[in-house]
Amino acid sequence: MLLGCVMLPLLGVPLSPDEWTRLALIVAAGILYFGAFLTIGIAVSAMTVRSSSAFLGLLVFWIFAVLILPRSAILIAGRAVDVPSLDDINAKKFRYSEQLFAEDRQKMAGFTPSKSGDMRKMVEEFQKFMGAIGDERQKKMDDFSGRLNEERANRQAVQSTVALGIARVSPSVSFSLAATTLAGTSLSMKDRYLQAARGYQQTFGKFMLDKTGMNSGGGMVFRIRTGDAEKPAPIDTHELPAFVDRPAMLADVLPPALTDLALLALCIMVFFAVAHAAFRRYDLR
Amino acid sequence: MLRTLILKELRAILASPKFAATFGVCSILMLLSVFIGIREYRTAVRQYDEALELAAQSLRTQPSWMGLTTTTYRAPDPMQIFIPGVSNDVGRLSGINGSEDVKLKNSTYADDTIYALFRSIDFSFIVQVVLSLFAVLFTYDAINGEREGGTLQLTFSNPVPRSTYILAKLAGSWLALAVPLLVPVLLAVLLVMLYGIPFGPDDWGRFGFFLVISLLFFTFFISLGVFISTLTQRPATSFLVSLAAWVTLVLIVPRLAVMAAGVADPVPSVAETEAGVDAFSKDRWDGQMKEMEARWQTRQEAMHGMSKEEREAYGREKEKEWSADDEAGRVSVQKDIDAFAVRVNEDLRNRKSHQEQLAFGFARVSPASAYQLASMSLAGTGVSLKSRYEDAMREYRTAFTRYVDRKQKETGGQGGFRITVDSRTGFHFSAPRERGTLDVGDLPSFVPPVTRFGETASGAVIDAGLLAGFSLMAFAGSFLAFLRYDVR
Repeated sequence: MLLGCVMLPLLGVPLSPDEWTRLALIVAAGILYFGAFLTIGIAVSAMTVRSSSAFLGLLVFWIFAVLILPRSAILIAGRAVDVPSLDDINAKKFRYSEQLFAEDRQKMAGFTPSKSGDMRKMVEEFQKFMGAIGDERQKKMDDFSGRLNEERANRQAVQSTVALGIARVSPSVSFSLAATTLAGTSLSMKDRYLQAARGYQQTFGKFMLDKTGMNSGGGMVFRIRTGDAEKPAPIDTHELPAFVDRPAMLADVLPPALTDLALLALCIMVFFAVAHAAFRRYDLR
Repeated sequence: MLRTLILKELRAILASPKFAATFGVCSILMLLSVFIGIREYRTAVRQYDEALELAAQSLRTQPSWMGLTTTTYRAPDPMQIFIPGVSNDVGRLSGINGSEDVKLKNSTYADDTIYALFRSIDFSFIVQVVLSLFAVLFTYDAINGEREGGTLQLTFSNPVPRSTYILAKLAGSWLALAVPLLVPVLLAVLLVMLYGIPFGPDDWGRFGFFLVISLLFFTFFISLGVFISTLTQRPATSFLVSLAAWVTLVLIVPRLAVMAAGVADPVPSVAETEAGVDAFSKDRWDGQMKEMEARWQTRQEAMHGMSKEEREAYGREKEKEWSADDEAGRVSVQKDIDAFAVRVNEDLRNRKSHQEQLAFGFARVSPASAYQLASMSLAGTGVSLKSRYEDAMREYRTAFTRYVDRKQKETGGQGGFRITVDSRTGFHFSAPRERGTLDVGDLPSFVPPVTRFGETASGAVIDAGLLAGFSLMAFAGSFLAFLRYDVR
């Protein structure tokens, strides 16, 4: 493990002090996990007479802890909490979007400019009209999508809580969760990134609105050009706000990881107590 | 004699706690994995049917043939119940349109990350990891354990040929371990039939072959355990050596092979390749815009000196010709981009394929890798799954875009609705299809590639042969080593 840590800077992987601390905690979690299996081994050894029986018992325990329990927990959680599939959600979104667009097409067909004759003003008026109905449609769609996504995310969260709650009976799950949480690669990684991307979407949208006076990505733009028109200068993209994906920090990941670290410590204590009690009554002959 | 020795060995194993543990663990694991597999397969089928219905509905409600897009989905395969392979990692769907290349996205693990956390325990994994470990446990003290207990010397005080004894040891262990595999397999088959999973003759053929290679795989570990037992004097030593061999063959070699192939034959990342295609695409579309501007200038110059009415009349007269010119330009650019993307993707795929072959070549040193490759090949859930589907989807994309272009020409529609701006009368909306749906009855439909027993079996034959070779070598090794074994 230490050699692996030494290799990181040598292979050009720079780690910040925060990351070194998290790595140290992952190593600590590994030691706790190792300790848990060590005490389980001693406990089983103290409870059996033959080494082959102890080995067999431990192998069966290992298979249950590492292979059977985690998957069974997910199976039980899947049965207990029904999460709609993404295809279900997309189907609902699609139907609603179609409904909104059909309504807007009626409005478009009924559009009449107030001032006929002045082409430029008519186009401006039309753009304003299209922008308004586009914004309204987008808002309705965003609200609807938001509700569906939130409902799915909530159900997924409940399902995860149930699954992980059951699976944490296994020390290997506790270790796996502690390590991935500390590394910032746990289940919450996707949500964290999505949250950052959504935040950036709003910043970007506001920037575009300030810059162009219209929402990006929607509506349509009429560009009236004549032959002698001056070619527009290329845009300066340096002004664009940059997307920053804030990495997981120690302060964020430590509290959720503490539960699993505590569970591993508890596992050591419980099995040490079992080993202690079993050995006190052990027949030494 | 042989029969008596086999029965003695079998009785000894069947009465031991290790048999009860193996049988219990294997039964629970296999039935759990098959039950989860059936549940996931049924969910996948339901989602697939819903998604197809949604795609069909989406096609019918699109406003016109212009820019018509659809989505194709990967069909669930019942064999993924036993061997999911990479099917949960590979995307489930791809958009089909004239401007974007086919790319599978939205994998099961990406949609529902909780499944990615603990991965799946499938039938092949249980055989590869658990059953092989139990095979080592069954045989690590097969010979030296008997020697240490003094029973080996006692046996050979009778006229027992050594070759018969070692054969009986191997056969007895093999039969004892076949029970914990075959009984849950029969129950799993029953579950599959009870749940009404559509298993055709091809699927049964593939499943049967999969069982054969599973038996070959654990035959190797039984022979290896006996071989190591004949090479060492103490069971503790043979256990340690067997465990080290198991860890090396099952866990280290397959991963090391992939790493070695990555170093020996590096391949550019997908992101790099996509960036290259994007840059080319942007360049070509920029060029197209310039050409369009130039054409527009030429048209303006042609109308120079005309009155407003003459310009409008000229515009109306030339509208179709200009539109056709612009469309031809667009089609030509899209064709160039498609051709470039095909070239780049083909190059990437060739290099990846070469790297994969190198990795598989290295990995096949381990019977565990040979077994995994053979089982995934039989199930059609190996690394070729992605390219097989993407190839079929690309073919479909060609047929789809050709059909849409033809329909568009036939109907003459340029878009969903047309907005006409007139300086006197204002805006007018017209839609070619205000009501009703597009008739997509004759639209070519995507047919998922079918994995036939013959094709998959031929892909698995090399690995099955390797497994047989490894087993034979380990068997020959244990046989020869035992002939010279000091039974005292």
